[in-house]
Amino acid sequence: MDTLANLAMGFSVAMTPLNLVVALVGAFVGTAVGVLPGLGPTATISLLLPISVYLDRTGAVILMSGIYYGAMYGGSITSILIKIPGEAASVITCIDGYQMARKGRAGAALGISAIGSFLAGIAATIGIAFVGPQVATVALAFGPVEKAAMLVLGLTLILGVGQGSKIRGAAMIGLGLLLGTVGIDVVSGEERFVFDVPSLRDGFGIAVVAMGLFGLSEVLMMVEQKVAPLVILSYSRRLRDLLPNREEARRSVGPVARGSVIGFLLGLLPGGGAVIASFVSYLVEKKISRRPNEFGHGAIEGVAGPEAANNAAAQASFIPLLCLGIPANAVIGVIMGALLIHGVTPGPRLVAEHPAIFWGVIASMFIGNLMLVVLNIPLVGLFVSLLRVPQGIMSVMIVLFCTIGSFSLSNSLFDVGAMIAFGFLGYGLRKAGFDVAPLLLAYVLGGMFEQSLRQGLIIGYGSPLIFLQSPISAAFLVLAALVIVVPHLVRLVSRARPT
Amino acid sequence: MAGPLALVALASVALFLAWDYGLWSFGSPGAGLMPSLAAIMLAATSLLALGDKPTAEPVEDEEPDPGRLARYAIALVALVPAILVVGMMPALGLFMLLCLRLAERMSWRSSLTIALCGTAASWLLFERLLQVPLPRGVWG
Repeated sequence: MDTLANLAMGFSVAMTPLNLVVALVGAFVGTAVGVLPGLGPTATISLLLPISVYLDRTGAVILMSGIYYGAMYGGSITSILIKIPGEAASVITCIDGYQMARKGRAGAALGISAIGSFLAGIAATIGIAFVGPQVATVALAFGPVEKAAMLVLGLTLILGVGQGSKIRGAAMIGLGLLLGTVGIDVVSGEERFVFDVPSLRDGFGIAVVAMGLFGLSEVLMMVEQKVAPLVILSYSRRLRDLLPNREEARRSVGPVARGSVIGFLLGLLPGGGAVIASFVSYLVEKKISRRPNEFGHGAIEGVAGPEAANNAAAQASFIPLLCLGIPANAVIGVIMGALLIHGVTPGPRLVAEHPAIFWGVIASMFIGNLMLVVLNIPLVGLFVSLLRVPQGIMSVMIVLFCTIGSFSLSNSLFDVGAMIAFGFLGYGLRKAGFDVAPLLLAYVLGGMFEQSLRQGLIIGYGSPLIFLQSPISAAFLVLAALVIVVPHLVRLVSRARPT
Repeated sequence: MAGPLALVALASVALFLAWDYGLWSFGSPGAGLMPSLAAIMLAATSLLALGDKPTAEPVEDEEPDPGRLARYAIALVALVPAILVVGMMPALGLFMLLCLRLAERMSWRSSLTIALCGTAASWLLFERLLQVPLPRGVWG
């Protein structure tokens, strides 16, 4: 009953006229940001930090959380219609969403993406309100040993979902982990790969790497072709055609439900979040599907599951922030910065000391999700019109946004140069047949993995066997081994089986 | 072949440098442990990738336009030095103008209009509204 009473209080906060407007602006800007390739929620929320000062603390978090989960919705639009992810969590939607669009089912893909995201968002918000603190307590019990093993599992799962060659995916994970070590080692204070360049001491910002690898490299890939590849596939704007047919809806129920659970659980864990959740959901759907051959060729399960998962994860990642004071990813880290600017320290005492913020933000998620589904289905044409800008103008505008965005993160021209360098690196790797998504994911997880690995080794007096002595850690590692071994075994068995 | 070989070379250099940071010191893992593990993983998998079939980007039907790519690449390389000299907004305006005219083959009039509008809108949004202190360059 306490939860319901607190939720009612939260709705009274979230439904003030100003907070409703703020939630609407956040949802709208987030969707637009998600649609525009190259400008992700991290950069946008960072840019909006100065504006948040003019809002009260609850309004500031409502605005930023709206942008975050709005971007999860918006990112799918470009993934489906032009095969360019609006943001990283929609990378996986490109695979089957675009193929559905090529088969004339763009409307259904867009529709199931919005509906799946809405349902998952509502489910995740209920989860935050009712079971959030308990689940967070379990995650809090993970020590460095368990955390390191969990991250090994996460990195292994990245291999399972990366496009094409697993070996090349593993190489990208190695490169991502290596790039993540650039800067001052927080334990010893030693400089690594800094080469006396002061700007390298803090390493590369995640947003800088992401903008370069995904935004700028995409521009280079686009301009390489004479005819604009930014062809927006046609789709019907009639509401009826934006809804999936009965068969598609039936096939989407399971993936949305599983995606919501996967997204919620991975969103809770530091290092998890929307990107990994969408990849894991895709992998799970592909593994359990009766039609695995359809994946990659327009399977609706490949859209419904990941889209539900990324939205559920985006919402669930607020639990470690609000309940534990741990930012689960870069976007949440920026939102944490906004709270600190307002003199609020996120953590276990936030619920007791600032209930209006905690419950107001949760209530605003219900309202924001409703706003988003209302915005996305009928207004998809408006958002798509952003994509009708000629490719040349789009390309220079992406460069403009990426340049100013990378500069504004820490007011450093070095970041602009680094972003451009990562753009060329991403282009080169893609041309050489490497998928850059595992690189970025490994880069995001690298710092946390190193810290946990080193702490775990200290606990084990240098013995790596410590990672097998904890039952939770051992279970994570066994799962990771299974992720690698099982597909090979299945392949061997299927080869050995007489045709 | 060139891609995996370049990655092997990068990993070898990184491994060489990481070794100096120390794998183990004062009873705890050293600063070089993680870079070494990552470099070994990168080197080993890149070597294996030499014999692996590359995963090419999906083949599009479009005709390649290396000239357009080269113009963009040159403009991008020149962007940071240009920002240092003339400031961010003029440099971005110039970047847009030249790319639209020389790479996209738009008319001077359209290119100039788009570059001016884009730059002015960005200046209003970022510098005036969001108060991002954009660099002004040596010319101020």
